[in-house]
Amino acid sequence: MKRKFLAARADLADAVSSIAQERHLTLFGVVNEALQQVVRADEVKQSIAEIMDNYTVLKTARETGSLVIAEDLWYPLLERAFPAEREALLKAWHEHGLWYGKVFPAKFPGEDPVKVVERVLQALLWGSSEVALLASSEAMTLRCIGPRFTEAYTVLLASFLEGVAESLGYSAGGRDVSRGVILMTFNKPVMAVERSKAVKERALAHGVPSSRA
Amino acid sequence: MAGGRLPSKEKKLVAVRGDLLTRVIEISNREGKTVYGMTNEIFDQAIRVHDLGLTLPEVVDAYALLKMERETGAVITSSDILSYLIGKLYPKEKQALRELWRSSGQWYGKYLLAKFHDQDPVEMLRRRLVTCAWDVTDVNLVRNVDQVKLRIVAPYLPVENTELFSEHLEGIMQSLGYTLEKNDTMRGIILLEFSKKVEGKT
Repeated sequence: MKRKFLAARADLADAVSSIAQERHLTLFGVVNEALQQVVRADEVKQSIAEIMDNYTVLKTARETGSLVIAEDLWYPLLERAFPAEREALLKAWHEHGLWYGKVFPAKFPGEDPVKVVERVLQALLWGSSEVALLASSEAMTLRCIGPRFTEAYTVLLASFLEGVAESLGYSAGGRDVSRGVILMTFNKPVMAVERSKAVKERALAHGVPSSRA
Repeated sequence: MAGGRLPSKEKKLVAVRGDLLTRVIEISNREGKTVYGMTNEIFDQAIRVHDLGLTLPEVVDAYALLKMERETGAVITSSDILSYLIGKLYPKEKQALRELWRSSGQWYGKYLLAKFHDQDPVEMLRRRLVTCAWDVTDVNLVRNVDQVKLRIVAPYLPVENTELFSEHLEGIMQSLGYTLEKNDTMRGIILLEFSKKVEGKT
């Protein structure tokens, strides 16, 4: 087998070399193993970084009490239970959304929480064909489409998404929910503390005593 | 960057297989990246995955299985909500739910046969259980000629969920051509034994 050489940053090459030692393998073996996975990922049109990000999201979901279930079990179950359990289920899904909206941005610190949540929803809402979040400093729109969603699942998912948005500091605005389609807008209220701080700063800039600001 | 280390400006040369390097050059060209940049990204991910206590092949394998599960029409949901719903419905609709879970298993078994016609579907089932059954902590599948013994441990699974899961597994194995010989299911533990159906017999 023909060997060739690849240039890499010295600190990264050293770190990979330490991994190889830890695993009782050669550096040659570990690097080839990594390159093989890059080729494999490319065959399904993904990068290793994308796979790692998605895997981290799925792993976190598993560790925080989620599970995988076939739609043909889950949807009939929801449809059967929804009429009698509507309020309890709406509350449970909303709470689950609140939880997701807190856990995942914490898992990816230093990144824009809205972008993190969008990525997480795209990775976790398997039945959806489209999930998009568009946020400005004052509002956020959310679009989620799932052609196979049932009526009950759509309504509950909307409640879940409201919980997620609430965790990000947004409050419900407009809402258009029908089977398989969720379109929602959210507002970001200016926090009382921030407003008061801004008012104080403006007042100080204009020479108004702080007690009056 | 993995481990928060400061990027080094020094470079090192690392030996690799020529055929793999050719493929990586193709990919980096297509993505408009330098081979050096791509190599650093790959190394960064290898370090990141090592920090999780895994290897890149393990992550890519697991991801491929989860992707396959998604393609079969699975969804991710809260285990608490699922247990709540099953707890509510099971006492009243036990038989209907058991049939639903069995029939879903039968479909999945047929899917495994069709998808992995040139591979070992029972091994694929084991891998699926290890990777995709998130509430399961231990999967043990032992094969002896035409016999399969399956032991599943899921300590937090309520009794109703355990029974339904057992039914689902029976459905899968039935489609893979196995007959149930023994079923010892109790809360959080499933012990199933199957034997391969003999051709010509039902």
